[in-house]
Amino acid sequence: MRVFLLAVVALCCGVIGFKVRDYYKRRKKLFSDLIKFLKKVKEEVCLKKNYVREVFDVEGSEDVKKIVANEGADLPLSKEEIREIREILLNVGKSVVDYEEEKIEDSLLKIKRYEDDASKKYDQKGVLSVKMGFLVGIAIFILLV
Amino acid sequence: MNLLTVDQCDVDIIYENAIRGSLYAVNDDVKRGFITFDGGIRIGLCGEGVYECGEMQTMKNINSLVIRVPHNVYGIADELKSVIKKDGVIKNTILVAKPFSGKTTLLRELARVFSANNKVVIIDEKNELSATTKGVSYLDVGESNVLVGINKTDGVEFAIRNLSPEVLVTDEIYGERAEDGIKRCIEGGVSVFTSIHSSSLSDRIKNLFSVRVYLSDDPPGRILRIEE
Repeated sequence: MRVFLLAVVALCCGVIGFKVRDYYKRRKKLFSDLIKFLKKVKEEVCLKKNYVREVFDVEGSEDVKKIVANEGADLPLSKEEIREIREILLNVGKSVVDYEEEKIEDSLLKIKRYEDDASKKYDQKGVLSVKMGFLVGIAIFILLV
Repeated sequence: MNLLTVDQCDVDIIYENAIRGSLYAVNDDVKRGFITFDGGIRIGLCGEGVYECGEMQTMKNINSLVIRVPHNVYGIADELKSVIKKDGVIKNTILVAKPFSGKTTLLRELARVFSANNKVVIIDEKNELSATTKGVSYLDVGESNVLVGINKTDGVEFAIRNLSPEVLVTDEIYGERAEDGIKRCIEGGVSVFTSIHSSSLSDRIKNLFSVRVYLSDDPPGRILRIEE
């Protein structure tokens, strides 16, 4: 019984490691989705093709849609980041072509910085957390068995 | 009496929805004072013009709107059909009337009726005649081919070069360039149906059109007289 419980604890440590990794992974994906969406809008702005709402329906990922709907409580972002991104998304497309291109370019730079940071943290902490989770789990198992 | 009072907030909401949060996509129309919404609904805008280097860039602070909902009225061209087409020849026809007199509705019906037996091309610059959205015409224009959002001068070139029309239909000719385009079309042997905002016609226009139909605005669409 004792061995079984320790095995469960070790497994839980591994799962926690995966959860931490998923947090960073989701954060990284969210920023890259945002960049993809804004690039698509920029393309539409240049060619004056489709409306932002139509692009949003097709290109907007679930997490991006949550930010616009103000339902981002479970997202891996701080309140300040959500506020900032929401403001960008709610105002995109509302100007004339020249100004809109500049505005999107600025927004892309800002989000690119977030993405770089998220990517770095994923590479460092995300991957490490899985390894650490398993190592801690195994260590607990060995020490207490 | 329950009257609906429209305030600035309503105007803002309607405008925002009409442009779908994408001014860049409709700014060419906004600069000309209107937006065409789904189903051919045309929204006339009233606000402040924004100029840069003497050129209008956009319109801001929209304070009132004029919403026009287009529709088909079947059968209104029956009377004109025999006047326009005699002995197999389709005559160039112009509808003359003040705004809100049913010119576009009658023109649409003429296109629909004639498209049954002739190759009709519509140059729908403001998308009022056909109300085309993503390639689908929401108003009944029969078998007509529709060029949407293309100005009359370019549209005439496109149509004549590529679509070999027998009849070309276009709404509201205005300005010398549009008139020249129409003239070129007529000289090229294509019959033209068009309309003009006016109560009378210049000799230049009169000479181009062998059938001139004057419409009443009370009630809209009533034919006052036909000149041949």
